[in-house]
Amino acid sequence: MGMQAIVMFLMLGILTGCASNRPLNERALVLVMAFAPGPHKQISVAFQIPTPQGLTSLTSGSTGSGSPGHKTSYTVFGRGSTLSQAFGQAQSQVNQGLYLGQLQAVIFSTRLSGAQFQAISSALTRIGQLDKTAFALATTAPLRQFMRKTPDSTPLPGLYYTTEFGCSQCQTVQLRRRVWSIEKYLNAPAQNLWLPLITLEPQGFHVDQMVIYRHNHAAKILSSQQTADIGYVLGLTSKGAVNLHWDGQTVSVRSLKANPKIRWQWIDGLLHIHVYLRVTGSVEEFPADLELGPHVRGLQQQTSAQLSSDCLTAVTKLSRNDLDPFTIGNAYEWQHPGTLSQWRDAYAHATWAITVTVRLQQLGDAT
Amino acid sequence: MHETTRHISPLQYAIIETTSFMGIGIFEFPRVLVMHAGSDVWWGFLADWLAAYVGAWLLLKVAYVNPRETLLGAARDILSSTPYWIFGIADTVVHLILPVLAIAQFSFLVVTFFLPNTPIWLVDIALTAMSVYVTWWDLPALARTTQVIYLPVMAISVVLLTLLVPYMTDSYAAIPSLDLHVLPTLTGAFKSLYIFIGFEVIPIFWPYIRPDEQPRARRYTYLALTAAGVFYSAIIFATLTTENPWYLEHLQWPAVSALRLINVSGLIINKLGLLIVVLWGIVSLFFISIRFWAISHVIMPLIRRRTLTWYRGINVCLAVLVVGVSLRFPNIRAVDTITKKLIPPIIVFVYAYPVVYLIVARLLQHRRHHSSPSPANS
Repeated sequence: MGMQAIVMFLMLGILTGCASNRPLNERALVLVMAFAPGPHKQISVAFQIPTPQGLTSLTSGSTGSGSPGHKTSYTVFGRGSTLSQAFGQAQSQVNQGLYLGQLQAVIFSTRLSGAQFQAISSALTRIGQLDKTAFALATTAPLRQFMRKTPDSTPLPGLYYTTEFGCSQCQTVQLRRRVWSIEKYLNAPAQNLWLPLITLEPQGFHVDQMVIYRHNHAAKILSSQQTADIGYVLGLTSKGAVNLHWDGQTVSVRSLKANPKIRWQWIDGLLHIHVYLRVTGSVEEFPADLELGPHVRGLQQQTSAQLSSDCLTAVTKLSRNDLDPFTIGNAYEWQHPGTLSQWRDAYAHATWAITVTVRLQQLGDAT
Repeated sequence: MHETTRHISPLQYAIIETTSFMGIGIFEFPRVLVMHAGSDVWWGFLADWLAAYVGAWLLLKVAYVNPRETLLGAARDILSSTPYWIFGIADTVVHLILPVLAIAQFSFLVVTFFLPNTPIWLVDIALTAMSVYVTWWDLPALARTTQVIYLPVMAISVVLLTLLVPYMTDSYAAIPSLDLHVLPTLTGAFKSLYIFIGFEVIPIFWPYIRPDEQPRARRYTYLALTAAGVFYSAIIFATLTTENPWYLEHLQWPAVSALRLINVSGLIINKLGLLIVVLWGIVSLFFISIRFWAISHVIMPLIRRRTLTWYRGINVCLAVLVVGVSLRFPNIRAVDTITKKLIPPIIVFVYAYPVVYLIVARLLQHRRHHSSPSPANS
């Protein structure tokens, strides 16, 4: 028994992990990390760190309670020809260890070169303590301007991302992307990476566009309408809307959510890609002087037609640019290894067909 | 030897063989298989699974040669002095390599994900001390501890793997390929057969089951292999569809990387996946304990000492040796290289010796049958 007690206390002593633990005030909890190209092919890095006031303002749980006079966060910048040089320069400006285990978001400038982007993403996967589930975003805005912005909705900029992406049903298009998946797409043979684009606004930020990468550099920024259309095909759009003209009046169909299936086949050596979208939605805004019941079928047909033509334009544009955010290219390469260039060629000239079946489930309680 | 109840139940017996899987297999699997077999990964895995059944069948035959005696004890009856010693030493070496690799593998994992600033020797010593502690009261205690931890850990693992479903975007990768490339698939299968290594203890633990329960233990052994195979299939499915196959090849510990993604916001432990990795680590300590037990029970008949004090003494010496050797690895890459070199001979040994053993035993029985009408020792 005495032996057991000794061994147990020994285990308690050495297995707690306290040996490597450091108190909170020796750590600078980085909430947002951002990367941009600097002059002379250098990499600039910025760390956004909450101040003690900023941290305590969060404990109340309500937003906007941080007293307005206090700064809730500060930003440290570093620059260097390699990432570790830039990290070192940033570290030298704070008297606490930069701790990446609480990271909320990693922002990449779209102006980063392919080599820089690749170097950063591979470095991120090697930092053991870095939280791989942090959100990844891209931006076109300059680094300093971007990092100094505090959104109106939350006192702490870092928290904006958790509230923006934490709620999967709140976004029109579910654009959340995690840091770990960047490396996954960079390794994929055919599938291109996309990241949500965050844009600056007078009140704060705004996320409704996506930027598609060609291998490792930002290639195309989609408009918010295109993002929603591609979102249907990727199964990401959860609050789509279509406005139709009906008897000379405007009818709006909303809460459109698509369930996509992509099939492909070779016909005479040409690739035909067929997308089947099963869409559900609800009718909002219907002219009060009309009875809805007899019009539902017509509305469904018109919504389907509208969606399929919109999506067709969007996907064709992508495939003509040889951009492939879908998994079909990967699937082909997985089943037929070594035929990637043949697939790429076929994909760029593929004919698309989109079949949409809309079911309007909620019609409201007025007929 | 000091005796309490020296028997283990059939379920404990089956679990002891399967816990071994967690030791070195689970963390790295299925990287090597995917690298070689590509889209034929399922066929490669099926080959492994089948090979595990064949191995278990062979080893159970060995166990039945003399069901009341340990492997080395039985070997003494049928082998002459020199081959007996060679066999004993080979068996010891095999059982010594496995815990060294397991402890090195898991301590690097702990240092990478959990304790980045803790010196690795401390992790090594703590883990090995824990395994010695589990072996301290001999087999029944070891078997019970293993059983108590193993079943809940497996249940929680399966539940947690379902939390990965939202991340499984690359479903195409899980569809079995119809275009079979035999050679690369079999190479991959052979190189990842180590996931089932552990069933080599089948004849060693056999005499600890009550004679009337031995048929049941045999059935449980096959059932345990089936359960482990299903579990591995779940791991293949989850890792292939979450991380696509190409990224998976770059990951040191694909299953751990996938489990790291689980993030249940609102729960006290939001990184639930990492919790399960810790639990896997505890199970892999049992792997090491079981090896310690096996080695000491190979050494004890060799030196003809069978007391509990000798047993504990040997275990402590083994622990010191294992820690010393595993600290020689500078990084996980070195562990990988050595594992790749040493595992194939071990696999060949585990499959070859039962065949030789059974042939020798059969010949001997034949000869005895002819020389005297009543066989003395069967």
